[in-house]
Amino acid sequence: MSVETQESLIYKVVLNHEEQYSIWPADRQNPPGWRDAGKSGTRAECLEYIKQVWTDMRPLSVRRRMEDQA
Amino acid sequence: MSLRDAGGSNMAHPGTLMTRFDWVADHYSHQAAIVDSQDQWTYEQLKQQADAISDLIVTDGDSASEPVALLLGNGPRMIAAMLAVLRVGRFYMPLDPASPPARLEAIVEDSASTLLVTDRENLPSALSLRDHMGSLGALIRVVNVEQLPPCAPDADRRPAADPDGFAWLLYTSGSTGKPKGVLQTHRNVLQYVSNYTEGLRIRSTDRYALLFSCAVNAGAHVIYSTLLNGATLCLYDPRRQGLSALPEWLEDRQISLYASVPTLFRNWIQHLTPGRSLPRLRAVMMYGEPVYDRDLTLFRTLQAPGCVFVNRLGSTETGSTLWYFAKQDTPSCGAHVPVGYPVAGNEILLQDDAGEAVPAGEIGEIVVRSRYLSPGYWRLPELTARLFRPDPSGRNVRLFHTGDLGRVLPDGRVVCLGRRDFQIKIRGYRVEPAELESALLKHPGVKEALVLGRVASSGDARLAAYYIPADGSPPTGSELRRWMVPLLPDYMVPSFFVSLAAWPLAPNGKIDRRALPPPGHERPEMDAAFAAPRSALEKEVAAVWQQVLELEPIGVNDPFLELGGTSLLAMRILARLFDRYRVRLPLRWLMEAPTVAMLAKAVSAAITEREEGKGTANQNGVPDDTREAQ
Repeated sequence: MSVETQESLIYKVVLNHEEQYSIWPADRQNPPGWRDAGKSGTRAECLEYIKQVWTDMRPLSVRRRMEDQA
Repeated sequence: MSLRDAGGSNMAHPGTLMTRFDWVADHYSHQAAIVDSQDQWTYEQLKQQADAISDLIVTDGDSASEPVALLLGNGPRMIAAMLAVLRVGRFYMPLDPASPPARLEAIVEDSASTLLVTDRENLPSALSLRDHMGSLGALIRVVNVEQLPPCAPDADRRPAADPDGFAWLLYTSGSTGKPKGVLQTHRNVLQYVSNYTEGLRIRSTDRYALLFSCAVNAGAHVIYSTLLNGATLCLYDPRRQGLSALPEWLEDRQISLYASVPTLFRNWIQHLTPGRSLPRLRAVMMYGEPVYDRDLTLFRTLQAPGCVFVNRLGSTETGSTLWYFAKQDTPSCGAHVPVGYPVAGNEILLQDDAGEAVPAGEIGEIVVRSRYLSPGYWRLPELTARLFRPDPSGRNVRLFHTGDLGRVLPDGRVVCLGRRDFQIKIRGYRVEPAELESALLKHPGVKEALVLGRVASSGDARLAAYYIPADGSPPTGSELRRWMVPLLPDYMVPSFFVSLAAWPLAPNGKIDRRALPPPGHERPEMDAAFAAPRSALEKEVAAVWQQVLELEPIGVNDPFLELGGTSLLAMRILARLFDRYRVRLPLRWLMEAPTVAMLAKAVSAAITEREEGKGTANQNGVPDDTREAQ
């Protein structure tokens, strides 16, 4: 999908097994390995949502291992 | 032995940068790891120094989830500090002390770092950074590596790093001018090093020149490609040691691997004493900027038999993604040297604005599919989500949108055509500066060229061509314009031509686009001699040209096109003349008879014609109401 424009398209927020977030056109089937985060809207709305929820850039597997170590 | 013997080509890359480094440091303990103008450190010494610094970093109370800031000059101490941070399972953020203080403040602020490692020389800057953070209510602890604690704490207190954990945070300039931090993991860096090791066949006998700052991605690549292979890293600081001494240094230090921005390479190779050879040099690698056929020509003058020239494309987010190897007898293929084929572990897609694959041979954005992409931008989840996208093919990896434009040649080689951000829209047409630069470089009098869009005070985007003339007689703007007219559509011919003796450079050695002088508002250097307007009408017409073209003074015999005239500007001039004299001249008049003197004559003739033919046929193209009504 285009990075730059497509403001009028409706997107949804998706995340993968490492809880890395991205956006995907709402009317398309999710790419394999990605699931819905439960938010859809304009590109700007989706990115704003991601800004709120994705607070730790570490992949999930690393977060888990580091928590086990601590 | 090399990294390969330790399983370097294994895609799984078990372990971390430090497990590899320790293995190398044990095998090559007495070999020189780092050589600079003053010191030589063996692997054993480097390891000891790194361990000693690591004890300064492990102290209770520091939060391990933020980067450790390193404010140190480009030297062995900086590299030891980098390893020290990795030793304790944390990640580092290198800072270049030569950066402007405001930039360092912005980076430290954004990183939320709570620990700043420095030395005596950089302590004053470190303390002012601490004060700046303090004024924002944030605490940052400053430690001086020249004041090591007398007794080392227990080595067991060093937590191990995770292979997928962060190794570093590197700040790059964002397109908006605000620096953004790119994260990298141990696994990714090991993959990049493994690619270099395979591609360049790096051995422990190699001597790699470090000409980059440790705070940039290219510097990190050189450092780890050397140190994880038991080779020797030779430090040269172009800012301090100058460029004229570089050829001799490369020879004396018996450099076998060389990497720099092309600007730096061009500079020293032209000052190489004839007959001087660099027999040990095996590879010359270009980073960060477009590489032209002329660079290959320069490379062929090197007396270094068997040396390869490597052009490449990559980014801090991806490592090297494409590369191209040329030997001295490799034939040329156009003004831009290709960036070649994908590096192992990467696939390259070319996409249009709608995210669809472009047809074969068309220009598209270079998109990278790889398992070894950066986890993302530090504290910028929205930007990360925007540029790192799911892969529709379902390989459970992400795609990274590089912002670079490229084209695939029929033989599969990719040519990079510059940044998408530099793409300019002129009157709705998309213009690729790289295409214009290629056209300029074909002129024998142009050595280097850069084209960018400038917004004139009228709000229009106009193209400005900056060039460095070749030795001999430099071409004038008029000459270059005449050169480009038959090669390009008229909207692509630049309005301004600015000749420069040298490029303004940013700290990373790249051209500092923001520091390029804006094109002047004076009459450009041209073949026509200046002739002042004579009649009142010529003065009026010249004044209109001056306002519209934003140039002063304009002579009566100056050709419209050479003044940067375009059809849009021609329309504006004609509209103003209509307002004043109520004469309407067809657009082609100005494009065909393009001087103030000739236009004044045409205006005068049109006025006479109107006076004589009042009430009869419309001969000057004035809209005819009856015709419109039909």
